[in-house]
Amino acid sequence: MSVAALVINDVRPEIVEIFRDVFQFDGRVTSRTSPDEVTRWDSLQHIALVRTIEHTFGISMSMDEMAELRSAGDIERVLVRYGV
Amino acid sequence: MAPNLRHLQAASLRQIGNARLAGHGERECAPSRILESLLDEAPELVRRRSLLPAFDWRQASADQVARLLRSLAGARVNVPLWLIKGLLVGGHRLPTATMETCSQELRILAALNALDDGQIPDALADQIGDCTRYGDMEPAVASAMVARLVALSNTSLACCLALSQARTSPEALRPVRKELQSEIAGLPSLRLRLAGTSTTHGLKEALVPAFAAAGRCVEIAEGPFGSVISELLEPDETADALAVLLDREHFLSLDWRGSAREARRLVDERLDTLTDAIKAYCRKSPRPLLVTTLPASISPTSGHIDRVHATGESGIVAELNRRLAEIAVGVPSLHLIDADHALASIAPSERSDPKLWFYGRIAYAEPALRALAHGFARVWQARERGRAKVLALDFDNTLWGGVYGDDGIGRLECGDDFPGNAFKALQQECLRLKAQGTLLVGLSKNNPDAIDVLSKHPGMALKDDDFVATAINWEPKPDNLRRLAGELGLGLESFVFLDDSPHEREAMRRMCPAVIVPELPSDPARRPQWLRSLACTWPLRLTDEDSRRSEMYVAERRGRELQESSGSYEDYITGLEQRLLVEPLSVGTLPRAAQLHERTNQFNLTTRRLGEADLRTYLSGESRAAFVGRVSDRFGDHGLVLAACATVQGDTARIETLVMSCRVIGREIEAAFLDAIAEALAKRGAKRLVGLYRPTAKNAIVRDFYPSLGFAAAGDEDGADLWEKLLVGSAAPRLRPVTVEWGTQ
Repeated sequence: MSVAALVINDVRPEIVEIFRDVFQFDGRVTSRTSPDEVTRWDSLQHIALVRTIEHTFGISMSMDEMAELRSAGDIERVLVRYGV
Repeated sequence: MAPNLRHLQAASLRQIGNARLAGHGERECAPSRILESLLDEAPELVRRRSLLPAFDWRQASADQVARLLRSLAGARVNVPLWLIKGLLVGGHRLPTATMETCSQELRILAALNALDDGQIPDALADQIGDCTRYGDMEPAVASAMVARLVALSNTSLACCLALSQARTSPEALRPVRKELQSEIAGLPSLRLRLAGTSTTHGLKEALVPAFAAAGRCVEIAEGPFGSVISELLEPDETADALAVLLDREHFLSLDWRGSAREARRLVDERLDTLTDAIKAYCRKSPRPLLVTTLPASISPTSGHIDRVHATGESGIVAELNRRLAEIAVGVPSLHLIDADHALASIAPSERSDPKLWFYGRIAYAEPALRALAHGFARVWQARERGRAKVLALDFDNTLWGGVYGDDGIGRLECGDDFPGNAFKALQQECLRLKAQGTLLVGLSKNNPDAIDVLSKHPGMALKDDDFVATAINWEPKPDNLRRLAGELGLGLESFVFLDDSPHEREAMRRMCPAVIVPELPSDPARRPQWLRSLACTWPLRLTDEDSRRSEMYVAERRGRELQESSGSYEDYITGLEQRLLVEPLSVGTLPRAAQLHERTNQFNLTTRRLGEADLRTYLSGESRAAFVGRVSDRFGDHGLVLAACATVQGDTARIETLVMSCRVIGREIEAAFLDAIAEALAKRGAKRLVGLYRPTAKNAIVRDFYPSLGFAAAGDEDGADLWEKLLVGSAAPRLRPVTVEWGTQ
């Protein structure tokens, strides 16, 4: 098997960890988890979220991607795009 | 089935370890199973630095690590530093023999990993304490050490370490986030108002750990977005200080439709508005104002002529910084946080994130904000604690290369040629500090004639006279330093000790914990620049007095030598031929008078810390008077060492403050000064003179000052003793061994 065979089921553990850390969110994190459920996910904490994702995965997102993140699944999609 | 490693060469094992394998049921590709398949090849992989450097060793079992080390030993492969670091960060124990060549911080981590329960030996705790004071650690090591301390349930040490490393290792704060809140809340608080030309939220977050590391719990009130000018013009009366974050973008949004001249006029308007507001704040408020300078331009707006053309960003940045510096020269409450120095170690790409600028007017990225916050905290710390006053210097292999006792003068390295030029450069830095008011003392284990090296060796920049005191003998250095501190009348916390020997540094830290003992780099080439960056020596402002301080101490030392050789104390004092020049406080003497009020602890009757703004109110008016005194004797000039402020009401004059530098204590100068003030106040119509003494932990020396000069007790007021004396009808002051003259300015 090869790296290409590693397919992601749902959101990866690091993203769950980030939600716990940045938003102090204790609920279940799925690809659909969004600001509707996560009360602390406001425009200010959005910056913290972006910084933490960039730092954790060693990537640098674009402005569009920053605007695009509206759920945990969006984060997965961005990460896959960066080959992470 | 182990995955085929060849296909995994390019990928990081850490990422793979965390991903799930699809198509194999729920079976996880556990990192420890991957490691299992690597262990057989370990010596080869270590030699090639392949695969293993990326492994997260927290995932390995103790047994696996033991097998790894055995297989390396079997193949006679040394355990390289990267592997030692990885294993220690992963929480593993290593045999002491492996650690021999490692840095102090790695050895500490190894010792922590080797502990079973929560009891941390004192010696180890001391070493961790040293880490919190001296230098930045690698982020991974710092984080691992903090996490290990938490696991050993020593949270207060963990908090202390995490805070000290927060600028370069913010991750280290994570394991102690909860504990930090109560640790920080226990510190003395400081109310800081924060305003910026861009969003200040990120700075606010960075300031909390930065100030906590400097011993302060900072409570921050942010002004509304972009409210710098109104915050400056209408200072928040409830705040202890105002901090201002500036950014280039604010001054540069030029209107390119007009001419270049027109565009520049708009920029100048903004510069004027800001600098005028800063001046207004400084006039109106005595509270400190901390302002960042603008960092150097990264993307020029006028290409090759960016420094030359009116619309060049570099030129505009330089112009604002120059104007800020000009204001700061005359205003001691204005402190500039040099953005270029703060950001120097941060890559330009890390200093700002363009998308955050457009998203929320965030001008600086996190690493830059942490560095700037550190700059703010450092300036504040310098304001509160002052700088180190004395540099205690070792001789052999510190001031020169070689050992005097073994090599003799001729073979010592110091001069204009390699490698002695590195030692001479360090000596020149010492002279620079001396010119900026730091005292130099020599502390050498040698026969006393080692001092001759300075005069006999042609390459030495330092001379015998540059040292205010030396202890050249075979006694322990901590004992010698204590003795010198006593002679100079300074506390141990005023000393910085530079020595190339780790043993001497260790001894000093243990025996005199108050002394600052930084890690002198082992490479002499690195030392001159290192000494420049040693922040505890940085002046916050300089007066003429600072540049002459060393001479004055040398004069005092000569005076003491005379005292030791002359018969009676009276003979000695008379032999000094002391002269006291008294003059009314003036604009020119304000800064030094304020400095005396701020610094003097012992000979200070009321310990009221009057600043320049407070003192200014004593410059004129019927009801107020202030005086300063300069002292000299046959050995030299002691400079402006006395200051006093008085208020006059009806026929009563009250001495509100009276301070004298302790370097002239015990020579009846204070009495002569008081006589002179009394005479001046009597001429203004005062018939009764009232003196105040407010006791503190440090000023017991002046408790009997007034009664010893014929004042009578007159009750007390707000914790201060009142003493009084009639100025008319009392006997003329007795003759003192001081010639008093009056100056006008």
